[in-house]
Amino acid sequence: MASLDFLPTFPDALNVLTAAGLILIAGILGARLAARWLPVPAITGYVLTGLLLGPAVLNVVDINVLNKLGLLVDLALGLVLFELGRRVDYQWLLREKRLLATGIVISLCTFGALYWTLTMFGFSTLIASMAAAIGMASSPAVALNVVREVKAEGQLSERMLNIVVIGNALAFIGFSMGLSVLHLEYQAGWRSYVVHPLYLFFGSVLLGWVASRILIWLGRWLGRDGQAHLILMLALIAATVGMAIMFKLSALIALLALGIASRSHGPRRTVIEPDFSQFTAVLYVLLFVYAGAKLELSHLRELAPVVLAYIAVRFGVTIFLTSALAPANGITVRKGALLGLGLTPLSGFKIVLVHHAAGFYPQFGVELTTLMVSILVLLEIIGPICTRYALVASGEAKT
Amino acid sequence: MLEFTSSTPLTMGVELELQIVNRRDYNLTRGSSDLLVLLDKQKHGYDIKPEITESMIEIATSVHTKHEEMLAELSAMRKLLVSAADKLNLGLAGGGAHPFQHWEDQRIFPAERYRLVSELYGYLAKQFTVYGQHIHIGCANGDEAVRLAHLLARYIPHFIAMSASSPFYQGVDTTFQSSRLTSINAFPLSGYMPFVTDWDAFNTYFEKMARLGIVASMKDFYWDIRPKPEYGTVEIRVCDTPLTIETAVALGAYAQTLSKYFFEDRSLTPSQDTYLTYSYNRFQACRFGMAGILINPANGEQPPIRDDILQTFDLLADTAKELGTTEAIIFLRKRVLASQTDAGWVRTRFQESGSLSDVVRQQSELWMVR
Repeated sequence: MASLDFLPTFPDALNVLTAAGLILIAGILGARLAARWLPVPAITGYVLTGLLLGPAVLNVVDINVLNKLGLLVDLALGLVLFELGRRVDYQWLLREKRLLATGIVISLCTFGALYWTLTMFGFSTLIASMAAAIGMASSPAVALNVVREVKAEGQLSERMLNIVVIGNALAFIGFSMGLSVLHLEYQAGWRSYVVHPLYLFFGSVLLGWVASRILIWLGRWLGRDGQAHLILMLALIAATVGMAIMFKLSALIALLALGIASRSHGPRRTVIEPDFSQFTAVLYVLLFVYAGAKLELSHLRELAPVVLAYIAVRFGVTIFLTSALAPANGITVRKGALLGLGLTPLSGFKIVLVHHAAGFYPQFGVELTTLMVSILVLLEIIGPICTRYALVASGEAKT
Repeated sequence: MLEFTSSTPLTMGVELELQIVNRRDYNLTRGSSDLLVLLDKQKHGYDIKPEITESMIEIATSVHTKHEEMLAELSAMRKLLVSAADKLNLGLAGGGAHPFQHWEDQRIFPAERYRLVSELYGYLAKQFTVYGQHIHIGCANGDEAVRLAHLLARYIPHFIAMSASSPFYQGVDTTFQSSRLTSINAFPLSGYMPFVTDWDAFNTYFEKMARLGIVASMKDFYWDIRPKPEYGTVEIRVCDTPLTIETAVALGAYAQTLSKYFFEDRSLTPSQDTYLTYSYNRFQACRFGMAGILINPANGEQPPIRDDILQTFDLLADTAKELGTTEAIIFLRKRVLASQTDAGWVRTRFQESGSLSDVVRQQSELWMVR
């Protein structure tokens, strides 16, 4: 049989490129099929496809392949945060303090209510506070993509995106604080619990800011060459994600900072708004199928009561507050309630943080991860549908 | 039978259609319903209305006799609008057309009348996302209104040239000073009022058109100048919305002064020959602005529009003094002498920055007075 040595041995798993191709094709087919039966956004279709292909169900795409795709997913997430940052007008937030206050109040109340709920279920203070911190963060990827998909424009869309940014920033800060308590509990040195969260936050912001200066300087030098700007931006996004990983910083915060800071406000802010859409669409499909594949169903049954309570409390608190604060935001109470509904998706990638923490203290990590993954199973499927419904029902989606 | 409501001659009012833009790339945005929700919470008493697409808002002054008072009212309205727009992070701008919007992106405002218009006119309705200033002049009766409308027709190029502010359309320099009026030409009932000589004759015409099922109300005529019997006015509709409210008010005062001149000089009679050159003169004004020519059908002279405007200002000097509009005429005269037009301003800003987004940003800062 030596003459047939050139034939490959049958591989036991897909390699990365094949898996990426499969994920993309399955993703677009899945989204199309889902949309044919139900008025769901493409994202839900991607997530369901991922769930089906991933380890939880068919295991066509196994955990090794998923881990290898991590790099592309990091890049995709970086892009989301960058685009969200570009979309957020911090000068508006500073001027429209009621919106800023709305974002902060929603986050803090959500945190408090979730913390209380989880302790009622017997979770330790630390787990409860970290899971509650994650609950403050609505998903940036879902919000941005659904707004784009239905071409939504208006106050609900704009305010929702800003609140998403505020929630994510606070969730990150809350989580970092939880991390320092964790260091304390496991009796790490003071450097860990004081310096580590500070390093994470300020280091990431600094990285993003430096990248934004480079973007603006080089951009100015390149003039109005749109193609060159596009390449420059993508290059800096990739490099910033990469550096955040190298320096053990938060890529999400760095990219958010890069996006916000690069929306320049100088006297000659000849804003070039590059059209990423063709390129990013590919990465986003990958991102959501990946997110679906990462979901785990195994603990859902045993954790069902706490999972449902978590979702119900988060949902109730958010909608109550956005409705109550609607007049302060200059929108109708109905639109306020829809705004709260739009915030339902949970940021799945705060899980990255959890894994990060789990890396330091495995036994702690497992408990938190199990809980969060089970909550995400439901919210990643329901969340995008809620956001889409909110945008359509408010009349902001282009129909 | 249309009843013409009598109003005090020479009272005036203006309506301005404004652009609502986002502050990200300064494209038109869906903003009027959000803006109106916020404005309606306050008991402001001003006339602020939605228009056919969601990226437009229309403001109208109350009835005035003095242009200074009209300016004061518009300034107060602007202040109210600016604070609401700031809260919502929207920009408001003058200008007859948005320079780079795509008409198919526009959304029809959710109201029955606009839905019907959109159904009838198809893509024309969305292309109608253009922004004009309308000037109303009060008339004692329908006969006076018909006479005034015909006499003003010869001066339409003046209003076009002095207000022109839409050189860019759909992302390109149209080479026109006012590209906006061209999109109105596409409507079947655009153009000018037929040459009827009194209100009875007008009514006969209107009833024929109504019986034929072509029109239901005066709103269905998209004429450049039309009598507005409900208000008791003649309405001039050719102006682009100027970049500032000061220019808008000065144009109103100019129309008021011209009207006074016509009301007083009874020897002037409308001539059907005005309409021989009407469309051509209108085109010259849209295309070349002040540099266009204005053919006089009576004597065949072809002066530049600019010279004709300056001559008319001289002619109106005494009337303006009596009416108290001298200041407004001087404001316009300075602009004409310096060849200062809004269309020119827009083109210069584009040459400086190379970005139409940046042009709209500056346009909105100018209107909002930053």
